[in-house]
Amino acid sequence: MRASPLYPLAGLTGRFGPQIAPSNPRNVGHKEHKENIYYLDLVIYSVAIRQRGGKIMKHNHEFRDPIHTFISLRTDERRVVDSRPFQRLRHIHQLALTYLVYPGATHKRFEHSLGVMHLASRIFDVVTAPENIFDDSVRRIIPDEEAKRYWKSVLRTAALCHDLGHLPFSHAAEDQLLPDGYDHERLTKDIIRSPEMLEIWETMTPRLRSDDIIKLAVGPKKADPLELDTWESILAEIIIGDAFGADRMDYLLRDSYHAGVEYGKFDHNRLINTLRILPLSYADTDEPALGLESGGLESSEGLMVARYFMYKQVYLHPIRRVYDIHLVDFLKSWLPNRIFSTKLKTILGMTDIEALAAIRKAYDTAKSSNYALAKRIECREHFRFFYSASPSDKDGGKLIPGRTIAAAAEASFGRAAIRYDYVPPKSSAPNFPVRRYDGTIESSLKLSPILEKLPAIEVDTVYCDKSILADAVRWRQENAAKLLDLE
Amino acid sequence: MECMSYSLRCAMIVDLLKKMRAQGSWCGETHIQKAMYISQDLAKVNFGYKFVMYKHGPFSFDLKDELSAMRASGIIEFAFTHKGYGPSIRVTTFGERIYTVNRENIENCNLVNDFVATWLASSDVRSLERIATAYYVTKKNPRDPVIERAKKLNSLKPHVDLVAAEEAIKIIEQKREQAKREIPLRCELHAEVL
Repeated sequence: MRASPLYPLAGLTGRFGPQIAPSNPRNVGHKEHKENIYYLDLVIYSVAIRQRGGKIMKHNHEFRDPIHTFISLRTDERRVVDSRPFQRLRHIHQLALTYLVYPGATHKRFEHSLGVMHLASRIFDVVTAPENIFDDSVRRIIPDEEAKRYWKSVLRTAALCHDLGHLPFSHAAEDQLLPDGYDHERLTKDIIRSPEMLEIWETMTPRLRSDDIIKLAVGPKKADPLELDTWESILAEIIIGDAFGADRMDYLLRDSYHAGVEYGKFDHNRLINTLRILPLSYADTDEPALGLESGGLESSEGLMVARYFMYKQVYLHPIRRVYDIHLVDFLKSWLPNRIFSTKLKTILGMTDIEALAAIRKAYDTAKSSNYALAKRIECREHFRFFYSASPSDKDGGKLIPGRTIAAAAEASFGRAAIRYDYVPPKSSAPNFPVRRYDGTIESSLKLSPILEKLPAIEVDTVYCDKSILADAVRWRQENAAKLLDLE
Repeated sequence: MECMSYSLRCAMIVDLLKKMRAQGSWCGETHIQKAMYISQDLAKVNFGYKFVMYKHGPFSFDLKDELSAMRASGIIEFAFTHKGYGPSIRVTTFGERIYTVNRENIENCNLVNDFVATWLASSDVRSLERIATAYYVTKKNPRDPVIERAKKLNSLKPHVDLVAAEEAIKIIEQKREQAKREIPLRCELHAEVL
């Protein structure tokens, strides 16, 4: 049986498609039709590997993807994708309510996670290729072929799972709506260790250890009490590293594509091809780290510049940020006990869909106690910013001036009319080893003035209710300098 | 333990940087990471930095972010002063001002920073990694025999051989004893004072 270009699912068996190809694609039976819709985004071309009893068994599957064109995965990885926790990611917006500012930004964690797996896998192949390893200190940490296959499988699975624990609207509500000690990484760990997922790890080939998946999925910062050795740290960096982690590469490319903002683009193919595990000889240490060939330095600069612009233009856009605040206000009021439950069953049953339905319902019912909070989101009645700190505002010695302004504004206008947003400056100078053409290793910051000089971005903004904007601006003009000891 | 405020933490880091420099340290990020790890533990004050095993031993992502924020705020700056090395961290004029404003409030931690700076300032990254990882292993397994802790160090950092690992563990034993003598109960007061 042969797949036709018009009907690529034809000729495939079992749950992956009808057993008998219809002569006319329109004559698909109800059951077959349902299956095809369910796997509509999984375009399966004829990559059949073997035949059994006349049925073709498939082992490689492909997703179409607007960023990476095709993303391939094996049958046992399909079990991860088909699992309930992973399918839930279809209903978690990657950028929360950003679509209220950038209407195209409606993409979800689901496709991002697939993209991260795709990129992480490519990076692994490049950095472990024997022709790309130049030093004995690096050769010593690369495991043998069998172990390499195991770790590649762990890496791909960890990349798929790295966002499983996200709450509705991703990061927007995480800080304030979880009990102390909880964050999405901890929930990710809990999900990876859940009976449903443990069963999948057991049946994968090779069989995967849940602790190894956790180490790479959440990285050394959040894996505690698990400890990562040098090899595991490098693999974790391939997924979530600051300088060129697959997570960062994918979200910049994907978010810019969907938001319609060109700034997020950079030459990721060149960057990946030049990544290497390198000794840190310039820093007097024998511990290798992820770095790159000097030919990829411009691509790395491109990534960091893209990141800078995306933060300025999209992630830290003041209106986008205030919608996060309004969302948290609503969720606090709507959720039982004002926080999300950390029970896995409840978490897995909670997505953006449930929260958005609650917002719409509250807005449709004028008597609802949450009506006003829902209206801010539904009718774009968001707060307006009237103070945003400039560098010179710190000259009086107050390192976070917005905090002082917000406290004084609350005293003047009341707490209900003021909102404050602070994001500390994001790390902007990645220090990694670069292998020059003569084989010497040097710090990226020494070789690249762009990486060294790229400014950090800080948010220190005070918002007020739209109805008092003019008064608040006047108040700021009269009081800010005195409050900040600038007079 | 109480957690210090941002301004005090900045002043603490500036204090450590100044003392490390005065003792001749190159003051790269690794120096500050490892020195602060030991300083936080000896002072028994929660500076707010959680350390995990990562690059060249115990590493704090919180501290990394803090250094980044301090650089963005103009409190510290990068400089390339040593041939072949990565960036060295320097205190700016603004950093000196922040330090002056908060100096009185961190006075009780001075002793710890003095001790750590004298101990670690002349170490290169390779020995900082050994020492800080030995400290980490000892802190986690204080009752294990020296050889067991050395094996643990070697499993975390395979490029540190067993002989060097054992030697590093013994240095930690000595230094912890010395710290008990030279930084007496005053450490316990810090949390209340700060």
